[in-house]
Amino acid sequence: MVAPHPETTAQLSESSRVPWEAWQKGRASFNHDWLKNHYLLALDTFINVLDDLVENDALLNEYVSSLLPEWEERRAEIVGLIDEFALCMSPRTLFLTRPLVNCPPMDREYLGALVDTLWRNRRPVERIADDVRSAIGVVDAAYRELRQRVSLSSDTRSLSALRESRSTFGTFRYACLRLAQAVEVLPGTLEIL
Amino acid sequence: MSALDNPITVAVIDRNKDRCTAIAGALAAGGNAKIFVWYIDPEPVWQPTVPDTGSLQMVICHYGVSERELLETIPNPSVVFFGGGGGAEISHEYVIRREITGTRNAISASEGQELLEFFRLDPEQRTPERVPGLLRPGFQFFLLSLAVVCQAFLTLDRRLNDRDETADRYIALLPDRGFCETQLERLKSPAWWHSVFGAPLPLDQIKEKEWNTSRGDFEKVVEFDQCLAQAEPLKRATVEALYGALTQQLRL
Repeated sequence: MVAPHPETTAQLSESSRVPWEAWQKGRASFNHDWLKNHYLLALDTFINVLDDLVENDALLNEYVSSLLPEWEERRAEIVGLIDEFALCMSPRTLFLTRPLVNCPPMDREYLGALVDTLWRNRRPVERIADDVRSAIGVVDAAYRELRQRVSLSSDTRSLSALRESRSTFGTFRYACLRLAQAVEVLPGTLEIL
Repeated sequence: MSALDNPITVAVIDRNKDRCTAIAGALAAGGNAKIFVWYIDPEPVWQPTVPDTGSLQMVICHYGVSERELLETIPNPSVVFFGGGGGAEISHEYVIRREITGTRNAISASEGQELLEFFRLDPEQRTPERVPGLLRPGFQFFLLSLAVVCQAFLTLDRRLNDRDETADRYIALLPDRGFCETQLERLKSPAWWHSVFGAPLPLDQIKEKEWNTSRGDFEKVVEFDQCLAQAEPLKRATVEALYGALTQQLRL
């Protein structure tokens, strides 16, 4: 049977005229602006500093204390986005705005449920979301290990002390990269399948 | 000599070399333009070298940190931004309103031509109705809505009339036959479509705001509107023809 209409859709229609646009903005803000073009770039540069490929004293001084902990501040965004993914990016959301909001209420209900059912069955919605959740878990684990190792360092601004954690930084970088790739798999536009 | 005879000087700024050159290629195929590209491979590089950044009239720029820093060094160009997420995150007058993640979905030659023609105009001539569809908010919005109802119509019709109901296992998820019959009858009514999408369909608006002339046959939308005007129950073939044009247009 077709999926029941979620109650939260009504709430969404009040808070945002087109929920998929707000969701896409959130996704772009997290993945494109922050993770890929800020956090990973800084991490790449920091690893290059550890590897003696570049010199950047300012980054060395602030990375562990200021930049690295940004993951803790931003992770809730991606967790929230994934929780709302199926709700916001289903083609059912088209029925919340013009012109399909002009449909009689009964038609909005069943047509929305129909296209949502097709979308959920033809696009592996839950699997894609679970892949991102799994990638978040890997980043969390790598982050915890990194923080633990760094906390054992005598000086979090000392190049030689931080170099002892070089491989852990590499593991964390790889986990972040995989998360960015997993988020990229999420559709960037509404899909009708 | 007309304005079209003068080459417009354009820069494409994008750290991703492949995407950058794909966009530049589309622009080069689209019209009379002198094109410079900037990318990182592995160091930042201009190709060819720009003799004077002040000569750049138009810049198509990826909305990344390094690209925007470079853009600040270029005096007074007309700027079009694009982003991986379809431009939703960008607040600017001219933004490409669809996702460009790489060469696969970079702009087409005809879209490049539209952009060049628009930015050849004097700024005061760049009126809202002349803005290329690629840069318009709400791009593919009305069309998506039409497509979603076509999809529902065709799915219900298949559920009821196709001999092999297991051909698409998802059809089995639909409600019982009686319910489908009732709903399909409603969707066959031109009055239903008119009440939702307008009577007649706002063809000029759709064509102006959402239709990309390089993809799909707009005549199919016109023909569909004519069928609605006949006030007779819609046939599956009529809806299939419209849906076919829409899937091509929207790359569904």
